[in-house]
Amino acid sequence: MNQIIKLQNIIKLFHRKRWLSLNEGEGVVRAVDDVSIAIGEGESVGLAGESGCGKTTLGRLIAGLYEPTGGTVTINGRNINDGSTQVRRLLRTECRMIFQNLDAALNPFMTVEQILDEPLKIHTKKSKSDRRKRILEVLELVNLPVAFKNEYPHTLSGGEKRRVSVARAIVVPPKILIADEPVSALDVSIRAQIIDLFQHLREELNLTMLFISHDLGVLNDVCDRILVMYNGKIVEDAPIDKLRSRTLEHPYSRRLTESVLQIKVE
Amino acid sequence: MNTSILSISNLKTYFHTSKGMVKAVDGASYRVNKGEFVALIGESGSGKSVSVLSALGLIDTSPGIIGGEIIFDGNNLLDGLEKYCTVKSNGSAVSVSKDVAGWKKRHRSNLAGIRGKRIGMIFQDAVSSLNPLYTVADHIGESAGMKKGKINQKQKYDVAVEWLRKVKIASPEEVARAYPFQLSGGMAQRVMIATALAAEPQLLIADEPTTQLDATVQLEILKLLKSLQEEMHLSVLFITHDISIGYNFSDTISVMYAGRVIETGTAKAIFERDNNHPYTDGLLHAALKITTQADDKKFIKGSPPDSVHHPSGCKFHPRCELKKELPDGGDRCEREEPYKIQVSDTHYIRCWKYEPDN
Repeated sequence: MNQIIKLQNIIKLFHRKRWLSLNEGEGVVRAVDDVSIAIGEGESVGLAGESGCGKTTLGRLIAGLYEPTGGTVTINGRNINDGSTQVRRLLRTECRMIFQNLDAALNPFMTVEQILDEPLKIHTKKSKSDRRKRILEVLELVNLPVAFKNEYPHTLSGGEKRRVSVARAIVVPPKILIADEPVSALDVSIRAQIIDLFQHLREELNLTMLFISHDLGVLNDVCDRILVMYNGKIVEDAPIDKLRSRTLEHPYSRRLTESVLQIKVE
Repeated sequence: MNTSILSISNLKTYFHTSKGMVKAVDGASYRVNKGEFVALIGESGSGKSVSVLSALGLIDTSPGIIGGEIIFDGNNLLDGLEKYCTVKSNGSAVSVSKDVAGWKKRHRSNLAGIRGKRIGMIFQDAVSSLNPLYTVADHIGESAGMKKGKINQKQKYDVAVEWLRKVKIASPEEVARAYPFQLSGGMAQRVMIATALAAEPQLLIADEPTTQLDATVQLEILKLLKSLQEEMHLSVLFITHDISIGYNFSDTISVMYAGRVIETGTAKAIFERDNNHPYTDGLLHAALKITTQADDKKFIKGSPPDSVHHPSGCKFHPRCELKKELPDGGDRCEREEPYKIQVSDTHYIRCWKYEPDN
């Protein structure tokens, strides 16, 4: 399998104001600490871990939104941090991210159509009518009524906003989709619908997906492989079957699986 | 027969918005028995939070609470409030005129000595529920003072350390002096629990206290709550959208949908899954858990109803797949709202499927 995402010895440090912390510690946080992973084309990988363990930072490093302090990120055979504008431009079309905070991710001054139009304007040379056609196509793909294109984000419900943010990520068809806690803010019944959407899109667009979530139940439904992160390090890399059969090996992954409240259905 | 500590019946709480009257709670009834752990389950907008905020007198707008009964340990918390509030209903349109100032005054005097002292509350967002200008010891001390009378700073600190130890915080001496912004989410939630329980209330209301926490921390907090409940003989009303919490921790479960309780029963009766409201059934299916395969998952179609224009008849009928299987093909579901149909001693469902004639 062609390795589309490759991380080698990635380190990311953040500086923190010492007085903010209750524990007297060093002023440097090692958010991501020597991580090396490879993800093959078409794979769907889940990244699990508790808050503060560096999941989102790792996702943003892959999407090129942070520069690593050390190590190299290679996407589709290209080092994305070599300073070339061309590589960056390509990266933005190949690798799209869906952000966790819905209200911060959608511009409140833009209608749904404008939000979806922006990536098309920047990354394609389509004419206005072609762009409009593509927007309608994408709205249909994420199961939103066409009438929504004139709505502003604040008039939409949580599930609808999530669909818009997914639509924006796929309007210029990407190869890689990074979803940061895509369902954590949603109601249970809506959550199931969005997960169904992701499964559908994956088949339709042949995407490579990285799912970041603290909810193992969600990862169980959409992923082939699971990475467990703890304190900036990947402590376990296992196929999803190991999660289903509850045979993850690292003690932390065990604790994580045991914390999932189960309903026993006989 | 258990005696109830909190009994809410036919509560109606409405809000005025630019889109029209929002019927947040529309005739909800449920009860919490002494010493019981009750889970109130529902999606956002189902009215679960608003119903407890009404019980605690935290809703004092007009229209706000317009009818019903809230009885806490024999005291009607809405006693004598009718005269400040006149409701005229004309078909589905409701107009309310309310003397807000008089209403508030009366409601407050009804709640005096009960709120905070006999009913404790934990909110979802612990960090922002704590006052940033006061230390942890101040919070816990103030609450303990409701029980013990005025106490000084030294006593406050001692009480706080004692309670922080009970909620299993690692370094209580240090944390007692901390300000809320210095705490992590899990620690803040523990402090919240200590604050609510320091007054030694009879009833603890917890409004999604673990939703924002990590899975591992969530489990610890839930276990802590459960053990404190048993130790202190507390009654707990636990609001959550996660039905698996209900399964693992509660004695009784009430499920809310569109401002009403659509199913009530003991946890055992509900999870036997012989008889369930189709919505509860959907929630059980949607509960994403590991070990089940992804393929056999059913999910509830559509989205929760617009709270301004509730559907006619059964509030769930536009999303219901069961109605087609009924003898009349769901005609009645569209016209008439089901009453609380008793399916066993402790299990009630609002669904026409369970009507004895069917």
